[in-house]
Amino acid sequence: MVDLSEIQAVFIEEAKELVLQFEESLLAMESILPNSDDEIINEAFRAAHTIKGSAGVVGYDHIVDFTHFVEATMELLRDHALNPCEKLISTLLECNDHINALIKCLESNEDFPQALTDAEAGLLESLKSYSGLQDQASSEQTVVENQEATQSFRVSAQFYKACMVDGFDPLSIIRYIESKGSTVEVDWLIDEVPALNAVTPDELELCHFRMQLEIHHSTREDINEAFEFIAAESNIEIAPIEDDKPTPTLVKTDKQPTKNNKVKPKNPERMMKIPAQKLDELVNELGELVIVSAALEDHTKTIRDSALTEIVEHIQQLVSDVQSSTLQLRMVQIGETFNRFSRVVRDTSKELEKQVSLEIMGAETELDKSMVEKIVDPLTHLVRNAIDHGMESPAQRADSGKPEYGTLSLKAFHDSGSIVIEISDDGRGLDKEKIKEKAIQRNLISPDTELTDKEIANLIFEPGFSTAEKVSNISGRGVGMDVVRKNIEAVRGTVSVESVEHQGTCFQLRLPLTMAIIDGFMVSVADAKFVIPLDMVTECIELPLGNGATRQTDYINLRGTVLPFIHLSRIFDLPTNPKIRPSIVVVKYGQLRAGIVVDQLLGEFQTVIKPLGALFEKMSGISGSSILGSGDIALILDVPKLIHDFAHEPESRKLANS
Amino acid sequence: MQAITENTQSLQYLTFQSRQDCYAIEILSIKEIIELGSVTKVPLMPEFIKGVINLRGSVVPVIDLSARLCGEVIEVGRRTCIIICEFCISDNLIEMGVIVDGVNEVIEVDAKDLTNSPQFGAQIRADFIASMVRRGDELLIALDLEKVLSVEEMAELIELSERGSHLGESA
Repeated sequence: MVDLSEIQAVFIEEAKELVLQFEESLLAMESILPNSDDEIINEAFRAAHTIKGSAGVVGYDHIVDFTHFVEATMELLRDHALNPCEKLISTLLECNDHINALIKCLESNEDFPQALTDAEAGLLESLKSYSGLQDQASSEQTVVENQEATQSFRVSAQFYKACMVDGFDPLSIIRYIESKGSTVEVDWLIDEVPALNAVTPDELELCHFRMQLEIHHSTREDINEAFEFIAAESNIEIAPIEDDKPTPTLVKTDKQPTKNNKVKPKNPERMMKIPAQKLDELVNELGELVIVSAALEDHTKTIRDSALTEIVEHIQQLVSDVQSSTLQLRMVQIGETFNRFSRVVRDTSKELEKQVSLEIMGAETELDKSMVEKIVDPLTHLVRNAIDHGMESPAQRADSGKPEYGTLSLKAFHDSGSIVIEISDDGRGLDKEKIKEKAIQRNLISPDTELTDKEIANLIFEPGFSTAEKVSNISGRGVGMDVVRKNIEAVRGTVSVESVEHQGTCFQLRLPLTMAIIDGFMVSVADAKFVIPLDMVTECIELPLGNGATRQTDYINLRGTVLPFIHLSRIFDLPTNPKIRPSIVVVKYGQLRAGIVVDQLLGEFQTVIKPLGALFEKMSGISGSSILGSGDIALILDVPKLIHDFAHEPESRKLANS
Repeated sequence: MQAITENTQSLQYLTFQSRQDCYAIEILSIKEIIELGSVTKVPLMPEFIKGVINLRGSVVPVIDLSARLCGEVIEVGRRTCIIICEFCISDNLIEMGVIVDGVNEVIEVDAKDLTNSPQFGAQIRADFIASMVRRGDELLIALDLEKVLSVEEMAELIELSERGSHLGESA
């Protein structure tokens, strides 16, 4: 038999998705209240049903027991025995959270904490309070009791052929039945199994045999349950044996699941689940391949063999194709993540008694899966903050002539090799004066500092900054924005905010598409080689003569605009060689543009990012490293950080230079 | 400490030279010994961070042990080499290279030949010493790698050194 822990892991993964699906359907139900939509209710029912079913298969009885009541309630809704109302849906959402909490406990192999068990009793109580269910539950109880008297049965089963393809192992079903009574004998009828040499490859995965067994001391309920998931397609016959004589009438399974109950994947497109770690390994190995193929190319250049060059070029082309399709494997649409926030928005706005609707744009924008995991927390924080601080109460909104319903929008789009996520609201905007006051009070700026509106707004990301006067449950604990910035910077992204008073606030996250590979532009200063992410490079120019070390000002006139620049050698304390005429690499990051003065330009190349590890975590100016074809290491410049530091230190720099 | 002294089984140590002194590291935390190849300098680092090396595709930081222990930068000689150490600190596997003036041998030491470090008198910080190894008439210092190569402490020193250089620039 298959290792159960493996199946359990699959169950946990699947259940997490189902919980999300259930939540989505519930929220959809809520959004159309007081109307109801059968299709949505069905979807929610299916999700609950599948959670219960698959939990049963892997033996998580606790989840089965609890989900049973949720499923029963959904069944009532589906059969219109119960009408959806706000309160019921809230209860169901809480149940959904509870299931999620149970699954998390299973995942981390913990025992269920007392708090969960207590909460469960309360939830079941409120579920039962929906009148119909009470009857249903108790009547079910009696049904079970009626059948409590055990019987002997003869079961014959013709499994539907594709059952194994769908993930149902007949053997585990038999095992389950065995646990529900005492089986006397199991006969496997193999008359339909084709001869080995006649089997086509497609048929190999099919289930060709039939089975007959006799079981004593069991109930029809139990046996039905065992076949629950395959009963619709398979031919299962269960006949009670009385006085050792089989009854002539063969009764078909009475529980005929409707079409909706099927646990088949809805999506006809075949999907495969792969552990993220395997994918990471693949990407790592691919990284090695990229390095080696760069080395090969380097070496080929010295040999000057045209045939070899052609082959190497071909290999390079293939490697780069494989690389892009591998990276594609890790890409997921951001919509799924965005959808999760409908719950956050709902709960937060309910709690604060505000009316907020969520608008999602660019849901199909793709980004790296590992990136998604890293940005959920900061995004949640920003969304909550926007509702807590940004949105006014409905009354205030009405007073200022805005619609009572506030709009919070999440928008994602690609922009020059980055993905941009915007969280904007049409609330009251940031109070610039208050922020400035607070910043002075907290010694973040000196009172006479002249700041633009944008700079003031971005002060909220400074550590220890929080303007909320009263600390609420949602936000305002002062750990907020600087943590958001730290988390975003940890994935080589940036965050900024723009705000118009009384009109709204817009947070912008700018993230790299992937964390694994970059197209780089290599430069050198003295002996050291540095890589600048290529998508930030706009052009390269020579540093105009006479403007080198003798210059007093660090800017040049670039086709009519002022371009400030920094000397890498100065920043990194590297020796300068007066014989070399330096070049300027013009980089652009978001709105900022600047030049970086380097000794030599070495050209483009694609490289794998190797993190420098915990030791260099606090270092600024370098974001990582990469291995060159020659085996040497080049350091990757943290351009945003360099520009940022420059933009914020011009005064001290000027002082230093004068 | 107590546990080690009571244990009667023998332990293996690698002995090596750093400046005039001979030190030992327990062999379990040593992955390999490689010759000193090209080390890529990382700008604005304190002296004891020699740089990073490419160890078969992974980037490994290299520490100048002499600079770390007694603040004197190593002079590269014929026997200079890098000991690649690998150890766990709170579930994180740390891989780091240590430049030394040459490795000597692997010795087997009876647990009873380990003694506590002296209260004072050693050339290096007391918390860097795991224990003293008695070797005939000689006493070797067995280094406490987790302390000597403490990521936390070194990261802070890096931050200080960086800030220092920035200040130096603007002053």
